[in-house]
Amino acid sequence: MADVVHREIVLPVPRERAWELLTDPRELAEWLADDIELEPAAGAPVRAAWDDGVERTGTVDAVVDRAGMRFTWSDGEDLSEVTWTLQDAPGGTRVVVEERLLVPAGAWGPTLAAGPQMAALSRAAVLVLA
Amino acid sequence: MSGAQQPGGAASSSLRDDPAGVVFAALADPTRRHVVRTLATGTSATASGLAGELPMSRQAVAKHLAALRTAGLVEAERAGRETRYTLRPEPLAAAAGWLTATEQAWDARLGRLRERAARP
Repeated sequence: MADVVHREIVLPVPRERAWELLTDPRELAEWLADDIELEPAAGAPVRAAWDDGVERTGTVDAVVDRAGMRFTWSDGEDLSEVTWTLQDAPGGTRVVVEERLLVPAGAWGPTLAAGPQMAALSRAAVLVLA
Repeated sequence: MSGAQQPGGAASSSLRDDPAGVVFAALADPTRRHVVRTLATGTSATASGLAGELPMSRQAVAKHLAALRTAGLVEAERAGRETRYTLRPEPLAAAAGWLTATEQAWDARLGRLRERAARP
C-alpha cells in the first residue's frame, strides 16, 4: 500500500493533440472538471470545480512542453501532487497520471484554507512523514 | 497511545489526529508490512514470536511495533510477563479511503478523456 494513485491510458492522438487535451481549459472542461482554470506555466494558479460542490485549488509546479506537468492542489482538507507524463506509444500517446497524497485531511485542522501557506506546510509535512 | 515511542519522529501530535498520512508512513517499511500481514491473520503475537520469523532481533521488532502503535495500527496488551500485539484495522480503512476515492476520480476523468480524444 502506498499513498500514490497511478493510472495510464493510450490516447489515439498524436502528442501535440494529447498536450492540447491536457492543457487547454476548454478541453479540460470536457473531462477533468466542470469548471477549470489551468495554464501550463510554472507558478500559474490551478482551480478545478465540480458540479457536486467540490473545488480544488493549487499551483502549477513544473511544466515540460508537450512532455508533462506537475501541480499541487487541495480541496481545503487534503493536499496532493498530480503529475502528468506524455510519451509516444504505438497507436498514439500514452498519458501517465500519478497523484500523491502530501497532507491528509485533518492534518492541520479544519480551518486552514487551501493556498500558498498550505503548499509550504505540505513541504514540512513531507519531511515529518518521511 | 500516550507513552508510545515515536521512532524517527514518525508522527507529530497534530498529524496523529488523522491516520492516513501516518499510516502510510508506518507502512512504508517492509518489515512493518510483514508484521501487519502476520497480525492480519487474526492472532496476537509477541515481539519475540515475530522476531522468530524475521531476520532481526527482538529489540528491532519491538521498535517497529512501537511505530505501528504510534500509527494506531496495533494495540499492545500486557499478559503476565509478556506484551501481546493485535492489529487494529480501522486506520487501514481510513487510509484506503483517500486511495479509493482518488482512484475512482481518475478512472472517471480518464474515461471522459478517452471519449473526448476519440472525437474529432
